Amino acid sequence: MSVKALLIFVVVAFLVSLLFVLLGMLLSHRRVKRTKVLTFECGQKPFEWRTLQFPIQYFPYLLVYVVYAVIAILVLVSLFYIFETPDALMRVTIFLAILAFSSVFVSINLKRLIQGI
Amino acid sequence: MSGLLSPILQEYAKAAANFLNDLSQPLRDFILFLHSDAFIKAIVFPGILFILTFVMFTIWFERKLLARVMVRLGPLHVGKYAGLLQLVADAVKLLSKELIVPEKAVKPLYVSMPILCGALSILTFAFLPLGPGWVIYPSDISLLLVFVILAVTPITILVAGWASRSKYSFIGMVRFAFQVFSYEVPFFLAIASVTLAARSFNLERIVEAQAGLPFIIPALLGFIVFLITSIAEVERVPFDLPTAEQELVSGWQTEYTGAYFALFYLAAYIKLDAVAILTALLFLGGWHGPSIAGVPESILGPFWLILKSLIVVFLVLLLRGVFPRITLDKLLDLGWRVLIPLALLNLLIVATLIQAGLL
Repeated sequence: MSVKALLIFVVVAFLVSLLFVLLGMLLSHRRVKRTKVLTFECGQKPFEWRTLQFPIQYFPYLLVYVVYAVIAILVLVSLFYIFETPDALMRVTIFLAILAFSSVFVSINLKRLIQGI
Repeated sequence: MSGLLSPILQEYAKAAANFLNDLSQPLRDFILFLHSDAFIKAIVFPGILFILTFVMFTIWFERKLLARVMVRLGPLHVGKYAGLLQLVADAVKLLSKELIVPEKAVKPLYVSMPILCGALSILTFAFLPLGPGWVIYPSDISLLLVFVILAVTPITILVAGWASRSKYSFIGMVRFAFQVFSYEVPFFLAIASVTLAARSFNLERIVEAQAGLPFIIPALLGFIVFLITSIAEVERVPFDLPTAEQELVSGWQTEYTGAYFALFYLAAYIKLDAVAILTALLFLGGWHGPSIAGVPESILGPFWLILKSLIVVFLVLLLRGVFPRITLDKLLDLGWRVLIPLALLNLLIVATLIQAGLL
């Protein structure tokens, strides 16, 4: 029964979104003009977007978050471990204590991560 | 009361049965389908009509509230009361705007991403229970499913920003990538403390575990982290760097017009409402509240839940009137130096409380 409700909901969710676009196509007017299909620049001749680069000075933050993502997965696994065996709570608490205090220590000691600003 | 009503109800049931018998088979099946539990749940109450009404109310409420913050009147003329139907008028106006695909854009991706983003953000509500039994798809891992959908929706926005091939869209997309991927970790860690306290990923079980004490009291740090990260997740001020209207011309939305823009706009508010309901479910005790005499439990539950989520929505909307935008380096610093340690400390506090037998 609930699978049926989910199926109807998924179909309706996509239908509503499609309906928006279809209504937009029906209701909107269309006058083709060269400046309209240009990249947004208020009618000025747009300059190249490829010259932009990735903000490399924030790269260290990405590394930090990759490390923390692994830790988050470890926390998830330990949660499942507690659900399965409630006696393991003491060990997981010690693990969480080490994580919490080491993250506080690191965040106090590593102050400037940005390169080249 | 019921003794008075029952003859009338019997009459009504008999008339309805006669009416159904007179109809042809496919029509009868269709009417029974419209009456079925699955259809009502998917279309009417936790489903699409409720979501759209809630979102309409949220947008109207935001405009009215921000107007009051700035000592203006806000929407006033459309609709009977205080411009309540202003949003319908705006939607018609947006839909009548021209649909432009820029010549440099990657057309298939550019056109399909708004539809995908709208549909995915609506799908979040499939796993959010709005009351005991009021859920479209009950699941044992509903919290994880909601988290997965909230984590997948940003990918459509990233692709949309890339496929626009405009410099404003590209800058907005890169900012959005930094923001979302960095705030997902504290978001998840804040959720983990609640699941640890309730020992379940089932949202209904999590709410049942809060019958005595809402989790905001033992997991106050987690609530703060969850609120901040979810505001960043839905790109509200002060975390609206990706769509910074004044400097980036709406960031990754720059090239989108008409119905495409309307879909992204709608999706943002649907996500905001989903996150507000999730906050009420996880930390504010869900559908538990003082009982009112004469009102049945099945109506009272959703009422309290929606009231609590409206309070969260009010807080989030008020931030837009009060705070300026923060910069990218501050945002990233806040994420890894403050929010992640706070979330881990909160996990430790909850685990210690369980160890001490207090939770």
